[in-house]
Amino acid sequence: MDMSVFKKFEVRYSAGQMIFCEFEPGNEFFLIQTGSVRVVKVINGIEKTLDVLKAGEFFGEMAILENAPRSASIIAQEDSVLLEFNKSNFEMLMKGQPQLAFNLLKILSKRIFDQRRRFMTLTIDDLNLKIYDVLIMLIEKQSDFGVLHPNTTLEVTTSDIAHWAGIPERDCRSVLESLVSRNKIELHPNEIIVKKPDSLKRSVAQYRKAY
Amino acid sequence: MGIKTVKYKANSIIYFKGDVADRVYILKKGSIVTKANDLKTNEDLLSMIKVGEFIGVKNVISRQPYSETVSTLTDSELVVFYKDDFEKFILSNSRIMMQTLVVFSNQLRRIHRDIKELNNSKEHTHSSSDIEKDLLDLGKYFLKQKKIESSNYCLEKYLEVYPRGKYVDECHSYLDTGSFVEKEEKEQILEESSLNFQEGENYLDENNYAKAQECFQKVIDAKDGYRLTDTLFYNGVSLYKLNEYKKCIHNFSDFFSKHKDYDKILDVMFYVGSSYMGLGDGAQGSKFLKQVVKKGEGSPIAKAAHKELKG
Repeated sequence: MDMSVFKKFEVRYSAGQMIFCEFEPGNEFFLIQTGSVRVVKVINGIEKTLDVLKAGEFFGEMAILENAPRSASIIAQEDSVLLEFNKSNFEMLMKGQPQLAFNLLKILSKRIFDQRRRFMTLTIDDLNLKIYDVLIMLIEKQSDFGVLHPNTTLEVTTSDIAHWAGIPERDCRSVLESLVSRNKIELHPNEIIVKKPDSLKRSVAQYRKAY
Repeated sequence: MGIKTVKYKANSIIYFKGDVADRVYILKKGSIVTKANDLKTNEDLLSMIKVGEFIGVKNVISRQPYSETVSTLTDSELVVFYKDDFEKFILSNSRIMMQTLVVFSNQLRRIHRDIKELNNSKEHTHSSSDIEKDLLDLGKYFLKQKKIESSNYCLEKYLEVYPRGKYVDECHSYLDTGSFVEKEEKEQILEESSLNFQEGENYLDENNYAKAQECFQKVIDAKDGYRLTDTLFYNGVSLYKLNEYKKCIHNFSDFFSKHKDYDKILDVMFYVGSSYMGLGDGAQGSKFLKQVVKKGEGSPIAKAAHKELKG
């Protein structure tokens, strides 16, 4: 797609700079051209990175489509170039660049599927199974058609898993350690290797059937 | 174009949950029902589709299997779009594109809210209904973490959005604290470096090169630029005295290009040359030492270089 027409919408942020913060009223939405940004939320006095968005991704679109304050803060992870649009040129843009609008549609629907998946995890009451489900979900996310390959490496930390599961890190650690002792996973500082995701999935499926 | 109208008898299945999603449908006539699992209760969730409504859009465009089973209640007619035709259709129809965007955005907002509720009911997360205070608290949080750039952003945003807000005074005082913390941090780092440097010099006087090198390394690692060339010089001297020849050469690796006007540049050349000698590289070593002899002309360092050359 020829992006030169968007030159006048370009804004630059350096690494660590805040693009917008949670609770502020939002009137702009952004498309990342180069670089990456962190989606950050302070939950119970702890700063959590909910997601990292990269070139080609949008953020802040909800404030344009509906009138609502920002639901998270966005901080540049590296030096980044963004395109900034506001309410008035948004519709024009969407009509003039239907391919861009279609990309936004794709991103929104992907986010809906991701969030529904997340919701399903959160409804599990059993702490162990909840964490198994997070591991399965993360593997599905990074493989084609959600195939669960044995010995999949996930680049996540214990605190990431705790966040996905919505539980304290301490509880998460003890579940992960018991999985290590049963040789189901390997736990490294910045990655987790899931050896037999199928067996974890079976446990979760059994639980879902029973309830 | 592969868009066509298809007639279905009552009680027939249009697609099953889990089928590969390659078609989008619009109900033209009749009545159809979708059956999905309720995310909260896992029970069957039935919903009627209105005439003119699309089904399967999300699944088709994000290449996910259908998430519900769809069947007819009465004899019905549906317009069927194959994936590519649907894409063409929506790309040329900005009104439907916008409507779909709003529908999806609403759905996303709803699921976010559901997730939040679920977390709240289990964790009792703090959530005030005072968004003005939330914004202030966020600034306060970043200030506590000494992330001044972020706290400044939130606090300044507060003043911009609520110029006559309830917490304007508080906000100003936090901004002041922020700039104070920033200044203090800079000074503190410099202060630490100057202490380390002094300590290093003292150890050098005592010929305790190991301790001295530790101190100078700390100054280098602080990266605050405190007496950069002197620090590099003394660090190199200490390394040489510790017989760490390779490290000494590495320490001075871009010294000649960056600091060629340094007042003790001949000394630097002497230590680099002598380090090469120490490593047994006479060719490289004598190159440096000869220059010291030539440029130093009878100075103590030239004499030392001369002596080193004679071996």
